Amino acid sequence: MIQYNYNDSINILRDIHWVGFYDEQADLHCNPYLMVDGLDVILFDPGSIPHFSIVMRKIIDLIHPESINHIVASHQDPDICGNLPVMEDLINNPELRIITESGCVRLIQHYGINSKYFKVDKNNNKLILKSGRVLEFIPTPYLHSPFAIMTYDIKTKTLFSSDIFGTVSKDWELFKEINSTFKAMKLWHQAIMPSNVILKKCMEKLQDMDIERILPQHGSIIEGSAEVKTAITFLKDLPCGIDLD
Amino acid sequence: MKKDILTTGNQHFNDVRNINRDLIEKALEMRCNAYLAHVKAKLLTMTIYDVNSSKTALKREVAARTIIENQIKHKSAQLEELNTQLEKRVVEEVEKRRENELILAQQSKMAAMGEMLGAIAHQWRQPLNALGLYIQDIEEAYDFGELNKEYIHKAVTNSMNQIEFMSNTIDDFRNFFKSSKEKTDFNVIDSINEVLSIVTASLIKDKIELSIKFSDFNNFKIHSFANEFKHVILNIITNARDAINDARIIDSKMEYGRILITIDLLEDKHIKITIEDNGTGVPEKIIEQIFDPYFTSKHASVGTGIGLYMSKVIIEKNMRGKLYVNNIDHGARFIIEIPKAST
Ligand SMILES: Nc1ncnc2c1ncn2[C@@H]1O[C@H](COP(=O)(O)OP(=O)(O)O)[C@@H](O)[C@H]1O
Ligand SMILES: [Fe+2]
Ligand SMILES: [Fe+2]
Ligand SMILES: [Mg+2]
Repeated sequence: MIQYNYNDSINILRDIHWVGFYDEQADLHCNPYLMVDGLDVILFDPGSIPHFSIVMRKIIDLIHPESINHIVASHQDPDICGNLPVMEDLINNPELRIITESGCVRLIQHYGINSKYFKVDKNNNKLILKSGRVLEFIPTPYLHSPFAIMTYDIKTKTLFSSDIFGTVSKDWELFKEINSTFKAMKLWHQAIMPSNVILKKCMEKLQDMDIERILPQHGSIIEGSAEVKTAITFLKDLPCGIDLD
Repeated sequence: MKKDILTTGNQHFNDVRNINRDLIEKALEMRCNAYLAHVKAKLLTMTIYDVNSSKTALKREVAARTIIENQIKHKSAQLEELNTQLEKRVVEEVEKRRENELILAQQSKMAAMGEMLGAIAHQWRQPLNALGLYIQDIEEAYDFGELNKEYIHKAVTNSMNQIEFMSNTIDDFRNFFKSSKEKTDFNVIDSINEVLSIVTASLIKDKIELSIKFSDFNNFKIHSFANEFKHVILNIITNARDAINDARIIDSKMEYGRILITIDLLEDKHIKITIEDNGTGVPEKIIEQIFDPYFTSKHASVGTGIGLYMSKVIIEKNMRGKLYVNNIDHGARFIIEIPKAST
């Protein structure tokens, strides 16, 4: 088993990096990711104020922050958007766009954001990078935010799944054997997802997609299409939210 | 040894790395805090600015309100001023009215006085003639040696009678122009007779017969201002005389003028005094105006146009009665209705 140094950023793929903060005291671990694609640098779900200095330090280890021109905010939560204003202030790039859903803009502007927005629903749920690489945005309404989106990188078949496929556990590792995560995954989904009716629909959609790995905002990365399928199958029939009494 | 150096070197490298990490993170934390402090400061300034601007807005609003309040105050002051001016004007107007009324009353008195002077002149003509005759007679009686005690006594008595008559006329005249101080009970017929005693002589001179008709003398007591009532009767009689004289100018064959005064008792305890003449009658086109002040159809040296106005005021305002006119076959008929005194 490879030992990972969580003090530094971790390469997931050649151009996708984990830049999160491993807080050993916490049971909910947040995973911001950085995608570097030539002239386009995309930061996924940058996180909170307390995480800012570490996340940013890891980013600085990799690139010049001014080169970041997109930040994906998959929904409005503070564990995703809390440090957005500081982030954009430090990035200091007039080209910077916050990628999110229109309804979410209405909410996250209250963080005091100054950058322009890239509203996915107004852009055919697609962002084409300068290299020609295409990022697809998949709306996952009410999982758990009404405005939640996932990002699918066609090139690497990577799904940035936000809160879906997350886990909540003190016992965290970035890469974990899938079956050992189900307990924590169940806990998380039952706590935060509204109903299996909604979750199932989403899973059925994902079943038909060609996904090599899932990069969730919480918990562990799911590597390999078979593992992905297993996870989808697990969540598909998981009762959660109002299903439980 | 070599392993030691490597381990130490590695250790050193890791320490530097860790220190570097810590340093960068510290710097970023400071940067973050600086940013947040900046945001806070900005928020604070914005808040202060907001408070200030809302303060100035408040000030502005207060100022605007004060202006409006002042305007309202000013307006209501103007209104009040207008009101007081209006009140003043009303008071002035009333005062003017009263003055006019006084002037009118004065003028009517003067007019009546003129009438009266004429009447007195007629009234005195006869006794003066008589006195003249008596005095001439004394001289003749002396010449004929008839001037004895008895003659003188008779002459003195006769003269004194004439003088007394004349003196009475003056008294009547004087009384007539005293305005009544208070209401008294008096008999309408007595009052009319007093007027007649003054005007008869002038009516005789103008060949006008005046007759008075009533049923029960004692029934015609009223409670009012006696002299003012007499003025009214005098006014109407002199108007009748004028109308008769005018009729003579038109119809030269007309011999006698006639004035008929009838006094009746109406059922509702009103006394009705009708004064008819056989003069010109009141032309229909002026009949509505004859009670207006200063309305006269007569030559300026004769008419004042005050008589009927004052008469109406006296009868209708002071005596709570009615004075009106209608034309009869040959002439005019003036009717006075006044409440009878409650016994
Ligand atoms: N008996 C009357 N017959 C016809 N006209 C009359 C008679 N009495 C009054 N009038 C008319 O009414 C007018 C107003 O009368 P009056 O007020 O007494 O004023 P004056 O006698 O000074 O004209 C008279 O000028 C006259 O035209
Ligand atoms: Fe969330
Ligand atoms: Fe989250
Ligand atoms: Mg007259």
